[in-house]
Amino acid sequence: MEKKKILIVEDDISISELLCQIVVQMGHVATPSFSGTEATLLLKSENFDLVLLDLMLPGLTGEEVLKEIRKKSDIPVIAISGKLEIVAKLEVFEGGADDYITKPFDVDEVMARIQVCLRRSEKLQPISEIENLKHKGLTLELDTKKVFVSGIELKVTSKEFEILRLLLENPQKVFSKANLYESVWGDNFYGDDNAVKMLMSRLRTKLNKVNPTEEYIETLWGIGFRLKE
Amino acid sequence: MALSSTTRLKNFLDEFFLLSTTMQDDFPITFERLNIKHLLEEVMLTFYDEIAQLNLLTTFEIPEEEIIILADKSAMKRVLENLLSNAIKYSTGTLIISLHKSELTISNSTNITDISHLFDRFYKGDKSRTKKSTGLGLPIAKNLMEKMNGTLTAELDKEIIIMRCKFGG
Repeated sequence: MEKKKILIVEDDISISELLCQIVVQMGHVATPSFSGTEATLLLKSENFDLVLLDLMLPGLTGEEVLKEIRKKSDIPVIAISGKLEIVAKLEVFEGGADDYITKPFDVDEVMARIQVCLRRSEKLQPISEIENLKHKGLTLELDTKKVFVSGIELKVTSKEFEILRLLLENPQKVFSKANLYESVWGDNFYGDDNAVKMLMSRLRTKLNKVNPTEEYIETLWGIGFRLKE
Repeated sequence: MALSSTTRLKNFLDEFFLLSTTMQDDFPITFERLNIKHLLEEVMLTFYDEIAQLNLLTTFEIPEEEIIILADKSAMKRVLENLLSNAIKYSTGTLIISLHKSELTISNSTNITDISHLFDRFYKGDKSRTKKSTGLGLPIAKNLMEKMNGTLTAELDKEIIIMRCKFGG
């Protein structure tokens, strides 16, 4: 995933710093803002890809900021709050938030939620902005969802396409079977190891048929996969 | 050189702090239903390149079915990381990871002949102290296992050292 600009609206300096660190660690750019008024000004003057919005702000509240944002933009907003009650959460969703994180939060969970929000909004973006993914003669056409190996089209299922896309988008990353399952099926992993194993082996066979000299997917001990360099 | 010494000192202090907090009664542990097989696989994969580089003969005994335990995810992750990095660091060539319903063993071939001080703070297997480690990994892992109502013990079987994690919950 390319670098994204993320606005962090949080008045507590240490939490703001922590959120900035998380965002930077994910390879994105963080812009901290410490009040609702400042945030609305920044949103007017700059383009952001995502907003992390604390609801308990001095001056303009988070809910009010959200209202301002939704008047003219579909930018993904993740609300952060100490309020645990369902009613509070529902109000925020109704106000147009895409996701909700309660304090105290878990760093990994925040990362995952940011990732999901960005991925979702990326899928909604106009086709013209999408670039194709390429690796060693393998091309993924993201708009048509077609795969080409050395110029020859390879028929793949939508799940196979998603796997290839995931691997090509994260060239060094190792995915466990559970990771792949959750990313591609978009579901919690219930332990069906075989579904992933079979999908991967089918995909390797297909790729191998078209180009027997090149290996595209590296299998690590049969429990993980990554793009072969 | 100076930088690496500083980093090492920082690591040492971080580990020392963690060890001291794990010894307190109020160390935060949140039990959840944890798929230990997935966590183990995930952690093992982070060591893949290191193991491949060292050319360790690695054997897995991991069951087909899922194993769910009651444990704190981040504490359990820490335990697995500490045990695996130790086993890799001190292995003389083989590594065996074996998961069962109520326990996990991580074993490696070793030169060590005396394991009585293994869980002592600052103890390091190699006398030359050349390996980059704080010597706090095992005591931390043991404390964390005990916080989760489990145990961590060590056995020496000929030239194989076996670290045995019994899950609590």
